[in-house]
Amino acid sequence: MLKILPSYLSILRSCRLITKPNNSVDIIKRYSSYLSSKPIPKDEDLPKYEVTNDPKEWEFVMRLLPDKKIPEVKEKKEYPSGWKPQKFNPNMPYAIQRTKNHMIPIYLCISHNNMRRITVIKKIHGDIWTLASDVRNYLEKLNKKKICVKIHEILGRIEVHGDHVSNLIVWAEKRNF
Amino acid sequence: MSFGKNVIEHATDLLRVLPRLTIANIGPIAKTKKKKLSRRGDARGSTRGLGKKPRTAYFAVGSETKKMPFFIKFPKENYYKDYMFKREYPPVSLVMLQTLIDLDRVDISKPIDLAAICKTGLYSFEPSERHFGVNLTDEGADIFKAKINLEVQWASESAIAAIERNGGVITTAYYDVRSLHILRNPQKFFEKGESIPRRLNPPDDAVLFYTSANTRGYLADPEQISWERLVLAQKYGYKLPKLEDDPDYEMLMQRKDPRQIFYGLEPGWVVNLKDKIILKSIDPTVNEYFKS
Repeated sequence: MLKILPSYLSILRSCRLITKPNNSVDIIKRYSSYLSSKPIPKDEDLPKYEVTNDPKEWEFVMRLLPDKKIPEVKEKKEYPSGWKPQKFNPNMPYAIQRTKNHMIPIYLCISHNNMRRITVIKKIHGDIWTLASDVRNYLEKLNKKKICVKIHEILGRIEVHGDHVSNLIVWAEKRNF
Repeated sequence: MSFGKNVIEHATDLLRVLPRLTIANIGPIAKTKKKKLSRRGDARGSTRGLGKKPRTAYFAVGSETKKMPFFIKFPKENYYKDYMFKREYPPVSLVMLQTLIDLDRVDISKPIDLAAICKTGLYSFEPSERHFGVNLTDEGADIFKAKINLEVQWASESAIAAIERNGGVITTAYYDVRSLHILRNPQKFFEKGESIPRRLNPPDDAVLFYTSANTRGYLADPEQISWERLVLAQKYGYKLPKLEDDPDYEMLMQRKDPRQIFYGLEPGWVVNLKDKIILKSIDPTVNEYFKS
């Protein structure tokens, strides 16, 4: 048994202590040194195991692994979420490509401390100038005011001043984009 | 006074075991440090960085003219007490779940859990920021039409009703932080070559939620849950479809063990992705540790 003097208590706190059931104190060796660390046990001492190759169990593993490619959407009778599949119309002078997640690429960009709101239409193919005039006419009828549109011909992208995301998605879905 | 050992022997015994004298252990002797006297201008300037501004032009903070200030009127506001230690559940609405089903990102023919939702890459959460999984919200409860076996971490009453109306089943389950990290990216975990750990039990303040049949807790009595399903159907006014007559009865009845993280994989197993092999221990002491 070891009685601890109060002056040594503060120093002892840096060591690791263990109290035994009979109230005696053991000071543990520190394993920071490679000499004092425990040796690795042999393979015979390790717990034994069996190797299984059951395809039924392996299905549960395959279920957890992510797909390497985003799957294509199968045809269904109805889509309750409101999503609509794209239909290509060759008579139209322009088209909007879907994103890799099968959604229409119309976004809202907020900047300048929530003061500037700009809707962006991306992935435009074909005649971008007629699309811009169509969008402007559609929005000016709805809002009854002048609306500015900025066109990037090379990027295939249009920026409309103001928040018109939900209106433009309705406009795009009517044309089966 | 009688000691078992001499005082000097005690000291020498201690000195043998104590850490050696290094620069890190040495400190100054007590009461030798002189207190530094502050000179004029040392303890902040006259304006304290605020510039020359007439202080009397503004009211004091919290003062309402000729009224009792709010911090005297309401002495305690405990709304945000311990807010940094509370659990958070990032939401998933029923509209988002329906779009995932419509776009074939989630397979309905198998039970859906947190791993299946994270697999899509369209839902993200951070366990290190106290996010404990999915909170199913009732946005789009009217349009929801899918028969699923769903397992989420939190759900509102109307969201539960929307799923059970279509013949589905829902349970709320708790996962500790380590198993949440594993569920977020199971492939990364399998590549480490570690054995699947067992799930821990919920903490004290979450026990009531996960054991009550009202919230479809995973530790609740299944007979009480079937009773509460009937009660909720009468409250919201829909006809409850019979589970026993369903062709997908086996899929809808699949549940995890309270100590289990993945469907079909027990704690203690090691998955080898390269050789497509599962290692299971035969050792009785190891098996008893992982036993639920």
